[in-house]
Amino acid sequence: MKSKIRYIFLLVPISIIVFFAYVISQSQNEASQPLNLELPEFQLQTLDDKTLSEKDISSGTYLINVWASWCITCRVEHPFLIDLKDKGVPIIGLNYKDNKDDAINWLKNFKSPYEISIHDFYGTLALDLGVTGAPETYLLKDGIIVRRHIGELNIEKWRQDFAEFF
Amino acid sequence: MIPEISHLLTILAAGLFLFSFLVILSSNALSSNDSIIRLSLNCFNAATIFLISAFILYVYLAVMDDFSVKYIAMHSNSDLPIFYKISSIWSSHEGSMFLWILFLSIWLWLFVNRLDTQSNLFRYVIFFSAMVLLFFLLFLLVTSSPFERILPLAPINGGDINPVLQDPALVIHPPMLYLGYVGFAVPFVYICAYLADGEFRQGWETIIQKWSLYAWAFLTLGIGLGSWWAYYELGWGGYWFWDPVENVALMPWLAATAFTHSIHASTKSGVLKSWTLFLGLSVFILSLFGAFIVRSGIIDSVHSFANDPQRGLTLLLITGVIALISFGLFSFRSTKIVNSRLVVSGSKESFLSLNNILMITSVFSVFLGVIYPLITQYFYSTKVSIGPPYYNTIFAPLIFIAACFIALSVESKWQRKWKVTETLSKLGIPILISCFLTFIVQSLHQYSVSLIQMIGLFSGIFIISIYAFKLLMNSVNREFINWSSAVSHLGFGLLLFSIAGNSIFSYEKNLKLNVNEEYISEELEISFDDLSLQDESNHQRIIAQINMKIHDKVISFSPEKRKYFTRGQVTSETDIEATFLRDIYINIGEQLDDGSWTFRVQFNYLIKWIWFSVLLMILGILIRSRAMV
Repeated sequence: MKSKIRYIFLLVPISIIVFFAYVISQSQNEASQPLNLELPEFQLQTLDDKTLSEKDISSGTYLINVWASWCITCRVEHPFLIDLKDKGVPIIGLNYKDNKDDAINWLKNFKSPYEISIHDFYGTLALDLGVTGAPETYLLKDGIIVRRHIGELNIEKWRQDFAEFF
Repeated sequence: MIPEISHLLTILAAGLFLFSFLVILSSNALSSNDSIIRLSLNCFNAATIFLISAFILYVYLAVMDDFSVKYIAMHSNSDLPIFYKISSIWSSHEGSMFLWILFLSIWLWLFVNRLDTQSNLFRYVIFFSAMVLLFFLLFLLVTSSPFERILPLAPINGGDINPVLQDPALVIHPPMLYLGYVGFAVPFVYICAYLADGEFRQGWETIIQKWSLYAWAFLTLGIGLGSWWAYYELGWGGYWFWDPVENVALMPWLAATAFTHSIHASTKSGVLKSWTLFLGLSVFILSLFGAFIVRSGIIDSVHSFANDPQRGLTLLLITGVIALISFGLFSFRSTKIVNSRLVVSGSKESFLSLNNILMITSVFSVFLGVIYPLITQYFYSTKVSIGPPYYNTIFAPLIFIAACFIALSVESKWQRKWKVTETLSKLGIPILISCFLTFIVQSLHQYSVSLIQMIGLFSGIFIISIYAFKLLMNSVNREFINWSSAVSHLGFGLLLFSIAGNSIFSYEKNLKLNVNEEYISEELEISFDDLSLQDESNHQRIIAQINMKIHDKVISFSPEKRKYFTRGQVTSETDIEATFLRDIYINIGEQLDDGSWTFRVQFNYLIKWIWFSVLLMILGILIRSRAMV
C-alpha cells in the first residue's frame, strides 16, 4: 500500500467521529433551550372535515403531537398518549404528511388519543413549527409554545419537562 | 442485598479486566514470560465468571419482582409471565447493555481459552479483549447503571413493558442479534493482535474463520427475528421498513457477508489478505457504530432508547478510540502483508474481490442514507427524509451485479483464468430460464411490474436456477458441488425472489360491512356472519365471525378487538390464514356511526418464504462450519 493512502484509514474514522460529536453537541443545545414561540398562523382541515385555525386554540394549555400512520415510533408512543388522555390532558394531533384514509383507519384501529387531529398533508404548519419528523410533541400555553420534545414521549420526559403545566 | 452483590461482582469484573490488561501492558513484550501470561489469563477467566454470576443474580431479581431496583421497577411487572420478566431486562438501555457486555465477555472467554497459550499472539489477544471489555464495563457502571435502587420505599408494582413489546419473537430477537454483533469481537481482537505482533505468520485465517461463521449465523437470525416481529405484531404486512436502526444492523451484516467470503478466499488461495483484515475490523466497528446510533438517541426510531446525549458522547468516544487503534494498526502494519499469490483475472478470487468492492459500496450507500438527513439538518438546516425509494433504487442494480458475480464465480475456478465460452455456455440455460419466467410474470401482471421489481425477480430466479442446475448435474453425473455454498446461495436467491414476488403480487382491500352483509367481487366473497362480546379477566373481547369464499374454498376468520382494563389500551388481534403461497390477513377496525364495521383484508404473497430463505442461508453457513474442525 502506498504510504499516503494509508492515512485514509485514519482520516475517515476521525472525520466521522468529529461529525457525530458535532451532531451530538448540537442536539444537546436544541434539547436544553426553553422555548418561547408564538403559534404560527394557520387554517387547516381536521381529519373529521372541520376547519381549525390558531385562534381556536389561543387560550388554554394543550399538547400538540405530530404523528402519522407511517410512523412506527408513533405506534409505540400511542399507549402513553392514551394514558395522558385518560388523565384529562387535551392533546391535539398534527397528522403529518399522511394519507387521510390511512390516518383515519389508524385512529379507528388503535383508538384516538386526540381531541382533534389536524390534517397537514403538505406539512405547511409543520414547517412553520419547525417539525423535524414524527413523533414530536409541543406544549402550547395560551398561544405560546413553551416546550418541545423530539421523538417518543414517555413517562420520564413527561415528568421532566411537561407534567408541571398540568 | 442481592442487588448490591450483583453490582459488586460487576465492579470486581471490571477491576479484574483492568488488572489483566495492565499485567500484559507492564510485562516486557520481548520475553514471553509464561507466569505473567498465566496470571493475566486467570484474571480474565475470573472476571468473566464474576460477570456471569452478576447477570444470573440480576435475572433472579427480575424473576422475584424486586421493585426496589429502579430499572426493574420501571420495566417489569408482577403480573407478567416469567419469560417476559426476564426479557424485560433487555427491553431498555441499561439492561440490554448489560446483556450485550455479558455476551461479549462470554465469546471472548471461550475464544481465549481455546487459543494456544504458547502462541506469540496470545498476549495481544488477552490485551485487546480485556481492553474492549473494560471500556464497555466502565460505560455501563458509570453512565448507565442498571443497579440503581429506589430506597427506602420500593414501589408495590412495576411500570410494565409496552404490550407491543410483549411478544415471543421479541424475547429472543435482541439476544440473537447481540450474539451476532459481539461475536465479531473474536475476529476483531485476533486481527488486532495479528497486526500488533507484526510477524505475520501464515494460517491465521483458519483460527477465526469458524467463529466468524457462527457470529454471522446469529446476526442473520437476529435480524430475521426482528423482521418477523415487525410483520406479526405491528401487523402492517411489512417485513422491512428501512428504519435507521434496521439499517445500522444491515451495515455490519453486509460487511460480515463480505468478510466471510473474503476470508474464504484468503484461506483457500492466500489472496485478498489486506481485504480480509480490513473487513474483519470493520464488522465489529460497524456493530459498535450501530450501538452508538441506537443508544445516543440522535436518530429516532422504534428501537431507540431514551435520549441521552451525554451517554451518546461517551459511546462515541469509546467507539472512536477502538476504531482509531484498530485502523491505525491496520494502516501502519498492513503494508508488510504479502499475499502468497497474485489474483489471476477471471479466477474465482477475482470475482470474490469484486464482491468485496460491491459489498463495501452497499455498506457505504446504507451509511449515506443513515447520515444524510443529519448532514442536511445540521449543515443546511433543511429536513430531508430518506426512505424506501432511495434504498430500492440503490440496491436493485447492486443486487443485479451481485447476482452476475455469483454466477461467474460459481462457474470459475480457483487460481485459473476463466474460459469465456465455457462459462457462458454453462450460464446460457439459467439466463434463458430467468428471462422467460420474468417475462411470464410480467405478462400475467398486465405489464405493470416495475423495473426494480423485475431486476429483483430476475436476479432471484437466475441465482436459483444456477444452483438448481448444479444440483441436477451433481445427481446425474456426480459433478462436484459445494453444499454449503449451494444451500446458502439458494437461500439468497430465494430471498430475492420472494421479496420481489411479495411486492409484485400482494394487495389489500378495505371493506365496510354490517352483520349479515356480504361483499362479492369476481374472485372472492366475504360474509360478516356474527359479532360476539366476551369478558375476560383483564380485557373485553369483541369477536367478528367472517367467512371468505375464495376459489370455491370457504375459510372462516375470527378477528378480534381487545380492550385492556388497566391501561385502557385497545389492541387488534389479526386473524391469519396461512397457506404455502400466501397469508390472508383480516383485521377488524372500528364501528362506524351507521353500525357497520370496517375490515382490512390483506393478501401477502410469498411472505413466509422470506424467513424460510433466511433460514436456508443460515443452514448453508452451518454446513460449512460443521465441515471445519
